[in-house]
Amino acid sequence: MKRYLSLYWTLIKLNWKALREFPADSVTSIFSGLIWGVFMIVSLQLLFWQIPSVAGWTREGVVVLGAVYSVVVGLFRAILSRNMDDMAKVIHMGELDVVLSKPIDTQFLLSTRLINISGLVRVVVATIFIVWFLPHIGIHPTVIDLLLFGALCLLSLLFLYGLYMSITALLVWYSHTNNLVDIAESLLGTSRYPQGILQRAPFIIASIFVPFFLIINVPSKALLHRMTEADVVSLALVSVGTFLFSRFFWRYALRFYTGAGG
Amino acid sequence: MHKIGRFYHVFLTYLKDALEYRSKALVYFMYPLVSTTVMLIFWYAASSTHATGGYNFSFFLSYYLWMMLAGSALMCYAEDAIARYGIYRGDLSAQLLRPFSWMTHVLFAEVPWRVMGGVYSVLIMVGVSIFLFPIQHNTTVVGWTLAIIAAALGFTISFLYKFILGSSAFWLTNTRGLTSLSDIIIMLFAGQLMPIRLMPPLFRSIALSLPFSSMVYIPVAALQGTLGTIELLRAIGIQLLWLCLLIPLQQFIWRRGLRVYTGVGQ
Repeated sequence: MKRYLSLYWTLIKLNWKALREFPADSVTSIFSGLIWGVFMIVSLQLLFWQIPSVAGWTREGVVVLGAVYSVVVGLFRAILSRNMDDMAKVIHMGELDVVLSKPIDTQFLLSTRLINISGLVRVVVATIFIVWFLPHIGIHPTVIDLLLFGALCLLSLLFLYGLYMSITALLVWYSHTNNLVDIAESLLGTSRYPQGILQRAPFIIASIFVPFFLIINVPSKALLHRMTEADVVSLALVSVGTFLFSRFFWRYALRFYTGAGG
Repeated sequence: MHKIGRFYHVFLTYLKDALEYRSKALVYFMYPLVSTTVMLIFWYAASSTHATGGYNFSFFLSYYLWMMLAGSALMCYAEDAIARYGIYRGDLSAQLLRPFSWMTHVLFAEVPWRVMGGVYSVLIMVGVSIFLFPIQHNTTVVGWTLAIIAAALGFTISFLYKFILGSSAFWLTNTRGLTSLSDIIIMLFAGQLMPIRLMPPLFRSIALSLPFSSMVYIPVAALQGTLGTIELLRAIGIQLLWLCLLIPLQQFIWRRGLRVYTGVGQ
């Protein structure tokens, strides 16, 4: 464990140096992240222009949804997303051989070597916005509330990691379809909507979307003091289950990997 | 005649290339399919409990299904290929020596993917129409003719705009920020998020004065049959106006960009 933590710290330092080498890239990344964060909130407000509430969520509540989306997805984009994109290329180009020969867990190395440090700016700004906004709607979060929120965001991140890892493992068999991760991206984009809208949806469709709605709605409900035990248990089960499945599936996929001329 | 034959064979080559990756096209189609599904779920929930700007769920169903078709078949996504492979990687160097323009190459590479996206969309729409709900559509021959013209113009505007956007790579080392911003603006002002007529007055005015509504919103409104003949002709006039602005702009940016282009090691 100590070895992996030390390795991760080294990777952070390397990525920090890369960030300083290309400052314009970092500025672009920060700008892009902040614009998307603002868009999430603006888009929800536009949808609620004609209607006062949907599925028990008011205009103010969906502002919190949009901001929490920026925190969770911002964290994902900063820490994991680039690695998932890169994995598709690594598998397709046969470069996985080099990674497999290293004396470290392959899944760990592939998942953590690229860190978009500038993407954390979006997370920080969104968090500050949440802390500023909540008192305006009569909610005063305590330290316990914020710690619980942080823990739930980490669970959400665990789910996203497990999902993307599982989809990436499929690329071992379907390497030419290297845009498979885009399916998860399209589903992730829907998670900023209130979960209650799924109550009227057909069961098959709702069951596909439920985990994605959970990862944003449950942390938001925690901040708005509307969370139930069932919410936490659902999120925990989905997140841990997906992560454990991804671990198993990745190891299973590696048995079928054939890198030619790597 | 010889020139048409040459272009036909070039187009066939790109079509075969795209058909080779039809599963990839299906995955790309997931984006509009998923967002359409969620928007329909949202408006179904909303319209069940509140008045939604005077429109019922049937309107939203038709709107978003037509928008799914327009987003797949009319909205181009060539800017990444132009910037990343053409300019940054230097593929443009070889293309400049070929007896047809880079723009033709990009257009022929893009069209087969739009066709495949359109086919998938039409299949979904036919399925919904037969098994679930009827879809609102234009009912007159004149209306359909004008709708097809509006769609063709929408595609052309979209292609020119994305070509200009991709050409920014001549001057920028990283176009990610610009394309992100463009994606957001298009989502907001092309009617992909929600019908423009349901937006606040300020957003509505901005949306109708930008070219993005001409790319997909006007064709969707025409296909759905929510615009009268006079309104449709006016909308097509606006599309033609945008074409008159974008064509010389694209030519100007292209010529300027070629002057600063350096392809190394190709």
